[in-house]
Amino acid sequence: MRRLSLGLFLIAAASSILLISDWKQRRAPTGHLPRVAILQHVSQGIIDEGVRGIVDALAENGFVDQKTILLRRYNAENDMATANAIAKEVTSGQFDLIVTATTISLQSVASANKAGPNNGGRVKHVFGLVSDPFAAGVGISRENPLDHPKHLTGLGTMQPIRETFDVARKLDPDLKTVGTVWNPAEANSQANLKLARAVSKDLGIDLVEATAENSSGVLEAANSLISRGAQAIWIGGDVTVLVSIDSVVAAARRGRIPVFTSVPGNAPKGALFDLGANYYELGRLIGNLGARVLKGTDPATVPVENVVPQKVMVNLTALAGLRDHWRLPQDLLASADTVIDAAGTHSKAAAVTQPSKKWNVQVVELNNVLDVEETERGILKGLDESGLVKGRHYDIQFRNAQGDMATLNGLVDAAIAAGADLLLTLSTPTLQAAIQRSQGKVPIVFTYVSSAIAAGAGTSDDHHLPFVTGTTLTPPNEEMIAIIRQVLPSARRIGTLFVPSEVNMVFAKDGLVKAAAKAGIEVEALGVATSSEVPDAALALMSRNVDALCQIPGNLTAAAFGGIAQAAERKKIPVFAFQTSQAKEGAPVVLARDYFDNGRAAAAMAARVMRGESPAQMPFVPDAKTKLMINIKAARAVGLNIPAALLAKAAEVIKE
Amino acid sequence: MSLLIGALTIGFILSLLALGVLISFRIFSFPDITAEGSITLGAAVTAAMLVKGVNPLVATAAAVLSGFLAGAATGVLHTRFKINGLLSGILVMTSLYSINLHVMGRSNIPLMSARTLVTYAEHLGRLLLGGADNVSVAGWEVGARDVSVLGFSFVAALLVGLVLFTFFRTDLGTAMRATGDNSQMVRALGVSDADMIVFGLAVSNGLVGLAGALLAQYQGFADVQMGIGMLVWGLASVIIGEALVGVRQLGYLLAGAVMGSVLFRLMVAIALRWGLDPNDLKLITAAFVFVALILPGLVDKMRTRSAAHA
Repeated sequence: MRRLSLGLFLIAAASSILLISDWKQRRAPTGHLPRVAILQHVSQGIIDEGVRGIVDALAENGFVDQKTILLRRYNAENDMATANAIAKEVTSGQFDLIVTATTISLQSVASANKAGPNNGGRVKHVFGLVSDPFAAGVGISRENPLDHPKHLTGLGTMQPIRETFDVARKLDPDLKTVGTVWNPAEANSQANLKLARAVSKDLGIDLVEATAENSSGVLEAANSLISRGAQAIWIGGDVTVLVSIDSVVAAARRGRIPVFTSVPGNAPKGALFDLGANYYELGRLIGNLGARVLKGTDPATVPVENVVPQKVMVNLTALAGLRDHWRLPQDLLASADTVIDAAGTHSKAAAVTQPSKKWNVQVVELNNVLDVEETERGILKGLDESGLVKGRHYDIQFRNAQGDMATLNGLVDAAIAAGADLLLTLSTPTLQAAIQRSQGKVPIVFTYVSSAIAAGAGTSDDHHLPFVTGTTLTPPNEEMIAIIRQVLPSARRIGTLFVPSEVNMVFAKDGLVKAAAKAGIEVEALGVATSSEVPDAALALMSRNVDALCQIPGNLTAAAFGGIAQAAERKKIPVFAFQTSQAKEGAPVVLARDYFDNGRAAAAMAARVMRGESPAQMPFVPDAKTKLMINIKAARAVGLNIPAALLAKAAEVIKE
Repeated sequence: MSLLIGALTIGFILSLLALGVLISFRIFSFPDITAEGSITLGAAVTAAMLVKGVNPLVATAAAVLSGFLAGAATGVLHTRFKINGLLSGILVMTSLYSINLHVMGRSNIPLMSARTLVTYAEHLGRLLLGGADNVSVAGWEVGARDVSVLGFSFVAALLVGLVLFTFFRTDLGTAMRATGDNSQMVRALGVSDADMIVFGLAVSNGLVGLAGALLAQYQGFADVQMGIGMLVWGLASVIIGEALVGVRQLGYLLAGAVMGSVLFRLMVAIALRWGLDPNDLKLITAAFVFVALILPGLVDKMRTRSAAHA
């Protein structure tokens, strides 16, 4: 046993090194992950959007639910008693951070969170989606933004009320009387009203107010405004009223006056325009702040500031039937984030959804050859073009098994252990190893594979394993045969070399035979195993009475293509080839699938997966692009005439 | 953690290859490079039968038999036709390349949906683990599947090791070992050393074929190129193992080969896990092997030095 001890010790040591490298992967006992609570008072478009922004921003900062934090979301559903119960629960000590959206949530949590040391809070608290935090009665000083409870910080977002009224005046210079409905029980709304009164006074507008204690009182209040001569109705950040904005719009329509608001999201429901905060962006700012606090920033050192990322929405259909003359100037339309007209909704910069987390993209390759390097470049380019930003939306790492298949499994394991969120595989065995080792836990996008169906990834391009998708690379055989017929109308027999052990070549050979048979051309295929055999095999092939060589793509024949080209030149037989490098190496005509493009296409698919699409819904895509290259010098050397029509189609013509 | 389990699993599977190499290279002192072809042959035969729906046990046994035949062919070339041992191996290995292509019918067979020994092991493991998909090992979430396959490959290596240990202590086994040590003496004792070599190479390649069969079932495909480079790593495992145990007694040699194989795979896994420049992978693997080889010597030196001081 003593003699075995050294070996066992080394095995244990090596295992521990591996385990230590994997330490972060360990699912810590649940108590150790930071626990974060997100509270909102009510489900409403803008608040949901804000919360979405918070969650997204946390994830972008590396705080992902179930992985690095435990996230719980609470919603009081507009019920004060529930809000207080939730506040009690989240402040009882099991959470490390509370993020609140809405003023009421801020207030209820702040009051429940008081009993900490030095009268500070027990739990750190970041708030947002609050119009006027200074007026919320939670001890934040308006004069000194750093004077606030030590455990509490956040962002204020006063609705851009002055700007809203300015715009309203511009649309109707005769605007004299504006009505509003609000709920005096909402601190938020009070703050809005206070500002609105000041603003309208400055503009010489008469502000007519009607109050509603709850949503059922809103319609009546709105109706009263019309009878009191309001020329338009303005709604601020009042949750009660916003929830029943439809009643306000209906009342206004009956009175043939427009509604405008300081909160985005109402124009689609019939308001003339909204000028308010972009709540998703705002949520992200709050989420970023929450992430800073989780990373150790002391809330006491963060000033409470007023931040308003603006958003404008305009509804042209609301202009119809208005009593007064309202005009929408071009500059407002141009600056609007969303314009609604009879034809539908038009959003500026069609909001591309960005990934909800930072993706760890692991590229796994089998061997180092030129094509693989080209594909790599294509992948990087494609990811760049997809609008995703390296370092922000994804990280990418390349791994290569250096041709060793036993290493391939370990390589895929290592990629998964390194936290892969997406595997990008090159070559058929890599795809197979990835499918086998990931067992569906990690989505796979493949490229550099001629038939994923032959690899076992599916039964057709549409029906495949739900976690796998990608681009296949089949040689453009039909097009190639058409070119051969165009250049050499008399050709009846063409020859090619192939390597039986290269799965792609066998596949390509079968494809070529099929395509050629359709055109009445016979294919003479000769197998080779090593690069040193290639020149001899090429000569042997050409002595078998072939009219042309049509060299299918492959790793070995690409490496030894010089030998093929030389033999062909000696025998005055033209070579048609499928790989770009071969045009320079003496093939008169090359019709290539571009590995670079194929990598690019795969990257685009990877980007779609990162943006939330399921690979199950994405059919395998055969690469359709080809690139025609013509080497005039080589053509002349074998006495081949290239028709002008073909020359015109060439993407690249090599003359010398 | 899954990487560790994966490395251990492959280490145990390839330890069968190492054991095969141990028999030819060490016990018979025969430089047999048939292994590079017979590991693929084992994989090819198993895969071709599995996709036809043959019982995995039968398919695996067929792989062992095919490896056995390949080894015997090399032995016959060497003993009957007096072809140099290295060259006989080259001949068989080269022809196996074409044979493998014929066996598979193409260069790559996926086993994604086939029933394999690995799926059997998974079912068994899941039963033993109470049906859970994941088990927690010291805080790591580990797939029940991975654990069962690891257990399976460990048991396979252990069984094969024990069988070999018992076999080489029978009369026949002893005669085989003696052939490797001193063939003249064996002949003088009236044993046909030629038969012994043929049989020994057959056993060796049978094991290699088994390794190939299990590897294909584990990784989910057989590929005609999968054997390339395997022999070198098998040999490295044997030599690492020898350096680790330090003696040439049968039991220790067998255990050493298994340990060497596992250790070797762990080192590759570490190199992979650290995400080193992919271009340096082989260099680093070589450096690891170097360290594994000189480490036992250093340890011994330190031991003797401290003994001298004491």
